[in-house]
Parts: sequence; structure tokens; C-alpha cells
Amino acid sequence: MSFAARAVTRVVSLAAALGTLSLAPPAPAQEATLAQLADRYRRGDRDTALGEIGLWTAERTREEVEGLLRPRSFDPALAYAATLFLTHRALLVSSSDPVSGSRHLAAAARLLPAAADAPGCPGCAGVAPRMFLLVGLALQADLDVATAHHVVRAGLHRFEEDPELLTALGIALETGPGMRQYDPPPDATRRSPPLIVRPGFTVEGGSRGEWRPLPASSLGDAEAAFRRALAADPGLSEARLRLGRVRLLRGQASEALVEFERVAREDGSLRRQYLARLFEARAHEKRGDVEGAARAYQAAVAVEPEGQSAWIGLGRALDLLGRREEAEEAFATALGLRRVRGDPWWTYPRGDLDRLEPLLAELQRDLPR
Amino acid sequence: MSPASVLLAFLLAQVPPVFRADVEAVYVDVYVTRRGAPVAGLADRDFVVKDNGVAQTARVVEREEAPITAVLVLDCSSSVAGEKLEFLKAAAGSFVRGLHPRDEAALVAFETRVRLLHAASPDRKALVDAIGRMTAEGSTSMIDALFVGLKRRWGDGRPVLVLFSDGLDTSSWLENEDLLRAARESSTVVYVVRTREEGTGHGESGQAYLLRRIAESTGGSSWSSGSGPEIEAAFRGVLETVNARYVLAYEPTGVPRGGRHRIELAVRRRGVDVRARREYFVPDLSPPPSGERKR
Repeated sequence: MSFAARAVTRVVSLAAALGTLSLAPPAPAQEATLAQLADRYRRGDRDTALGEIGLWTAERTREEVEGLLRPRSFDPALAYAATLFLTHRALLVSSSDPVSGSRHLAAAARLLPAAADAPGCPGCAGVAPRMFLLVGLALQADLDVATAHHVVRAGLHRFEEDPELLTALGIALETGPGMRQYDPPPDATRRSPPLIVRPGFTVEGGSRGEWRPLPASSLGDAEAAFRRALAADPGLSEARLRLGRVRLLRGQASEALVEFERVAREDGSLRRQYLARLFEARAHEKRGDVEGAARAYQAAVAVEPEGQSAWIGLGRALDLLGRREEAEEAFATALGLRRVRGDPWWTYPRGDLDRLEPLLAELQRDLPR
Repeated sequence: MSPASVLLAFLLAQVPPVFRADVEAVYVDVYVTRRGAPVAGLADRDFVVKDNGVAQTARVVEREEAPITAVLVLDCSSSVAGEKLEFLKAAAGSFVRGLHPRDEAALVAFETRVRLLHAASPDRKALVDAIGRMTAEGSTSMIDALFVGLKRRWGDGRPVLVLFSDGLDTSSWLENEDLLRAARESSTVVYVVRTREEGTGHGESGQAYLLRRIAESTGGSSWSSGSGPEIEAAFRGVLETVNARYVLAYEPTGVPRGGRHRIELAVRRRGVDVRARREYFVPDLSPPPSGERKR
């Protein structure tokens, strides 16, 4: 499926925040090399550089990257600039040209380890972990979870206990096997049972054997990553929120509730507050406390009145409580919502989108010259 | 009003699709076929109905007496954009125009968001116009859409839900078990039209299985269609099935009102297949056990 519209809005607003950029078709002849464009980008002439890259073919992109990686002339500071430049470009075009966006991100992921491991760049050490984080988060936002996982692991290989990289690793592990991805039966001719990959899925009154839940090992690894992140930085609310969700999926509803309540109480991000309330409602449901779920859903729609998921969940909880008229009102509200901000749940698999924009700005400022 | 009547009135308010206040009866939609073709001309005496194992006296309700409220729940995610959307519009428009005069329809579209495009109405032109305005974008919140379609009160007719989808759910909040429960507790008959997944080479996907299971558990059917004119053929099949159904009505006797009711249905004809919902559910009147399972 294509990107969620919320992500599209997000990328568009990101583009607006990062400065004006014309996405008009490029001039037919593109003479500037990646090295030249990256150099312009790090010198602050970002709009011109981003506008000039144009629509490179896969082959052209590969040639440009390999050109930068030539051992004799390799410049790690320039490679970092190219990595940032390509990632920025990918974020700008991913909604309108996802193929080109993915290609630029793959190129950034190719350049990054070489830059991180090259000697002789005193200014590079300060940006290296954040650069791995940015590329990893951008890949996650692009739903290329496998590559995001690879990049973040590469970063952690070099910066072992970086809490943000650990959070990004947890996100990839949490979402990698599929938030809502359905596998076909391996061989329909053998009438094997259909497989539905859903975290923690059970069929009430049915046979658990008909359904395949998310592999527990991935969730366990995700939980471990979030725990390590929080041990290094207890204030990382994204890690806490997701730790709670993973614990919920692993059947630890009461423990998950503690995490959600803390995020809702302490974190200033409306996105995370909404998600914390939404997940809190699910945790109450898992404990059989439908009234608690209804209260949590009401708190969620108070935080984000356009949260369709919370309105639908509220309707369901009220219906279970026998409050049919109120349930009907909640469903009617859900169906009548206009799309302005959208529902944060819809972009949850895309990771910590709130972090992308400030991280990009930080790295532009701190790029080694 | 006697206590029993009060009790019954409460029940009727809780489960409008199953019990209707004016007749105090259970309605069951039945589709009878022989070698795939609908069997016409059946009468009361041809049906044998048991409710929780107890034989009931059922009557066939004339089609005119049992108008339907059809809820079209249509996938408008980005994968439908283009030619497929135009085929879908044509199919949905034909379906609406083919309904009986007393029937009504509502229109729900889903992509990332679930939207009500038209409330239940007998106004064919307004409905067709709303269908014509559909656009396709975003991801797929099919489970949320189907759940709300099953749970909302749409109109006074026999509830029928027609789901069209071409892909996998990617963004719903609710879970499959929420949907399965809603289907079990609703008396809506669900018909599913899915376009065949191309390129998987593995036959029916898990989600296709889920939808087929939901359709069959409600007494409905599922169609696997191509992405072109076959969509309209599938919708035509749904319409023909809806119009060829029998609606049986009976007042349950000899069984407690509350809880789950297992329906056994047979037809006194040889070589026929009978498709109908196998159970219905009446909520227990006792207060919900709030916090009972709290740790």
C-alpha cells in the first residue's frame, strides 16, 4: 500500500518547515555531481542543491555514491554531508516519488558506515550516532523496516548504548514482522490453515492454532532494546510508550498500564499522550475492565478530538457496556471526522516522526565542514 | 405493561436487528440453492427451524414486507485509484439502482480514514451521486470500517452489508477478534467482494479467509473477483442473492431469551443447499461484571 496520508501531510509540513523547495521537473541536463551537491548543501546552499539533484536513475545514483567512496579521495566529512543531503531529499520527495526517495535513502545507508569508520575527521565523531539515527528513522518512516534495522544495528555496533539508537532498534523490531501484515498460507493446495500475523492475536472461543501471532522473540528483543534505552535515558518517552505497547502485546497488561500512565502524565507531546491513552484503553480491555477502557478512550479523544481510532474504540467499549445510544454517538462522530491532522495511530509504524525534523536541523548545524 | 412485557421491551431495544417490537420475532435470512441456482417458491411448510434444539413455528415473510437496508462499505484506498475505482463506482451504482423500491442504502468509504458518504436513504439518485464523488487515496482501515458497519443502526430494513476490498488491512485500530465478535452478535448479513490478490501464488490469504469466515457466519457469501468488469458481475451476484433470499420469522418458544441461540435450519427438499446464520445473540440482562477480571 502507499503511504498513509498522515505521513504525506507530515512530509509536506516537513518540507515547509525546512524551507521552500521547488519540486518542478529538473532541467534535462544535470551536470552537478553528488560531491558538488553535498558540498553546496553543507555550505548552507541547501535549496539549490536539493533542487538540482533531479531524477537520478538507479545507475546514476550508484555511480555517484561509488565515486564518493573511492579510497584515494575519500573525504568522510563530505560523505556525511552527502548522507544528510540524500536523506533530506528523500524525506522531501518520498510522498510524490517514493521510488526516488527509497533510492536516495539506500544511497545514504551505503555511505554512512564508510564515513563513520574513516580516520582523520575530528569533527565527525559528534555527528556519527545521530547520523545513523536520522537515516534509520527516515527508513522507518518510509516503512523500509529491514534496512532501518540494518542501519540502526550498524550504528549500535559503533555506539553501543546510545539510547536513541536503542529506541530506533526497538521500533524496527516492534514493527518489523508486521503491524497488520497478513501472510498467505504457505501452500494452499495442502489446505494448510491461513496465517494471520497479528501481534498477540487470539480468536475468542476459536482455535489459537489457526492464527500465527507475531514471533515472540521479536517482541522480546524489542522490549530489551527499549529497556536498555530507558536505562540510559529514563526521560525517553517514545521508548517508554513503545515498551508499554510491547508489554501489552506480550500479555502484561497491568505492567503496560504503568508505562502508559507515566507517558500520559509526564510527556508534553500530544501525539504520545494520545497514543498512551489509546493503548491504555486496550490494556484495560485486556484486563476485562471495559469501563476503564471507555474512560481512557474518552481521555484520548479529549487530547486529539480527530482521533478516529479512539472514537471507534470508545463506541465499541460503550456498546460492550450496554450504553447503546452513547456508542451510536461515538460511531457517528468517528464517521463524520474531517481530515485535518489525522490520527497518530495511523503513523505509529513509521516510528518517531516527531524526532526527524529537529534531528535534521541539528545535523545541518553540526555537519563537519 | 406486565413485567414480562417490560423485559421484552428492554430486550427489543437492545437487539433491534433480531427482535422487532411490532412482531416480537426473530428474523432469519435464508438463501436456498440447488446446483448453485436459487430455489424459488418455498413456503412456510418447507422450512424446519430449531432454536437451541427446540422446534419453532416459522413463516416466510414476503420480500415486500421485509425491505432491506444495505450498507455499502467500499475500499477507497490508493490501490483502488484509477480504472478499478471506475469499475467499483459502476458496480456500486448498479447495485443501488437494482434494489427494491422500499429498500434503502447507506454508503461508507474507507481508506486510512472511515467516512460516511451517505446516510441510509431510499433516494437512488443521491446515493449514485455520492458514489460518483468517491476518490481513492491512503491506506486501508478495513476492519474498523466493517466493525462500524456492523454496529451502527442504519435504518429500519433487514440489515445487509456489502464489503468491497482489494487489499490487506494496514491501519485499523480494532483487532480481528473485535470484528468476529461483532459479526456473531449482529444479525446483519455480510457479503464480501474481494479482488483476487495478484502475484502471491499462494491461494487464499489469511485476510481473505477471515472475511469469508465472517460472511459465512452471518449467512452471507464472499466473491473473489478480478479488478475490471468482474467487479460489477460480483455486485450483481450479491444483488441477485439478496433478492432471492427468504426471510423467516418466528417467535422463540421454549427457550430462554438471553444469551447465545443456535439456529438449526433445514428445507424439506432434496438436493438443496441452505445458507443462513447459525446463531444469534441476545445480551444478558444482568449488569455487566465491571472489573470482575481485574487483577
